[in-house]
Amino acid sequence: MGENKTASVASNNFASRFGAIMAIGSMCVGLGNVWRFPYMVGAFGGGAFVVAYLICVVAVVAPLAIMEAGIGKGLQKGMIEAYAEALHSKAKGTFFGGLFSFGYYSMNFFYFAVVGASVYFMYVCGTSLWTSIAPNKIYDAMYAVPVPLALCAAGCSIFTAFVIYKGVQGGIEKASKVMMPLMVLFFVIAIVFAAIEVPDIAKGYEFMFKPDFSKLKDLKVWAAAMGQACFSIGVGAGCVLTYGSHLSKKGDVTLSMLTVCMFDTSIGVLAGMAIVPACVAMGLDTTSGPSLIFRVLPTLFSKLPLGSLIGVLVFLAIFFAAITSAIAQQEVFVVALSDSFKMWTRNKACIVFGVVQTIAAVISVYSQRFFNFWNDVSGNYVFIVSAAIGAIVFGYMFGLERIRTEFLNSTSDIKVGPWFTSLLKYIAVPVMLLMMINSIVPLW
Amino acid sequence: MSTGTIITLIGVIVGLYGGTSFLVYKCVTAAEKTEDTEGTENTDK
Repeated sequence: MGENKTASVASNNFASRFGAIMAIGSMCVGLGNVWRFPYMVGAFGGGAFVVAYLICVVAVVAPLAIMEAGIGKGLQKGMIEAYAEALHSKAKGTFFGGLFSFGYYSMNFFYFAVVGASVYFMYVCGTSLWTSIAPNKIYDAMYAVPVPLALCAAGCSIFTAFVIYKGVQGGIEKASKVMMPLMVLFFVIAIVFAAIEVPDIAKGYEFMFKPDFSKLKDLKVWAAAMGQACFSIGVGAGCVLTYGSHLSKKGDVTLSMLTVCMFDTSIGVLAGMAIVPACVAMGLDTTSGPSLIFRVLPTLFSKLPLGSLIGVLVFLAIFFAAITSAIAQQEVFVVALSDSFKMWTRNKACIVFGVVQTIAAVISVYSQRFFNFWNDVSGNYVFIVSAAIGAIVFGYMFGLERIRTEFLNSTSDIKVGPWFTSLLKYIAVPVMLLMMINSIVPLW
Repeated sequence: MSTGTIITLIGVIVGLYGGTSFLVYKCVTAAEKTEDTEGTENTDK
């Protein structure tokens, strides 16, 4: 019985460190990297924004991510147990950990409509539909007859539950090790193709990368960089903690999380280079948000030779970025429950909440109100509140010295000194809180 | 393209992708060392 338990728990760790990097990286890389980061680079000073973003990542977000993953690795437990440990109360842990992990999971209630749309567009690009509908009308046509989109959304939800059902090593890690390298490859192909086929591509690179360092004096640029970094890595919301709990207890959290933060930034820039320069060179609007992907990109591909093939590859890459985040969103809740309640085994939680999110995914396709409600509630408010409370609880109440010495330095090649505790206490957590407040009530 | 853009592009490609590749390499090789020396690293949870 004891051996079985040990074996079962061991299988909840990533099998290799490369797999761990790919899995945690896949959790961080999401649609925000594809539809927001490229736009912000162009709009906030090009290369100067990349510099500001990297400084924010290194000074604030990476330390927070290392702290959170360290807690997960040290406890080898999910959200509820982590909150219970920090607040010294199982009841409080169940309330906060349960509520926030559910809030994070509930993002899947609307998210699959977007993930499903990327599959739908992949299908459209690869078939005769590509030539029969005006590229910028495909999105509207998709919602005019929503059955195919509903099937795509439901299929993505079932696939997500299936990956989680297969376990950490056999599901999440294996899927990430396949999807992440392929995503990078497809974006690189798109970059090379655009460089060859798009006339005046240099103009697009000028828009995206021409450094305007005078913008670094503007507080808005730093706020944008910090906000993007916080949301992109997803610190505070519990996903880093949950995936950290899948790291081996002897794993090097510091190095792993630094790598993940760099990886996430690299994917943002890569996606940007695949999309933005070509759009600018072709005179298309590089607006931020879903319209960039579902209205602007089809128009771009329709103007290029072999555009349908590149379209399939780019939408497949976007699908990989999105589905791996959806996996993380369900995994956080599944781990929180299965680690804390005997009645919720991992497989049971996976199936039950897989069914729930599949029903919600279909409803969100048919009801814009339902979609908007969950987008507002979980995508905006719950995420922000949980990230802010998470930063306070884990940053100030868990015990930063314990995290540093016991969870990080004991197994890491990179040893962090007491400065790390001060950095978290006096800079990273307050800045994180300020960003959360700013996202609700814009301060500047 | 302007000189500033070219320098930024090279900086991004070398710094960001070079840095990421280096860190991934460090992670993978460090994991191999751990597996060699500790063997059953995942059985202690």
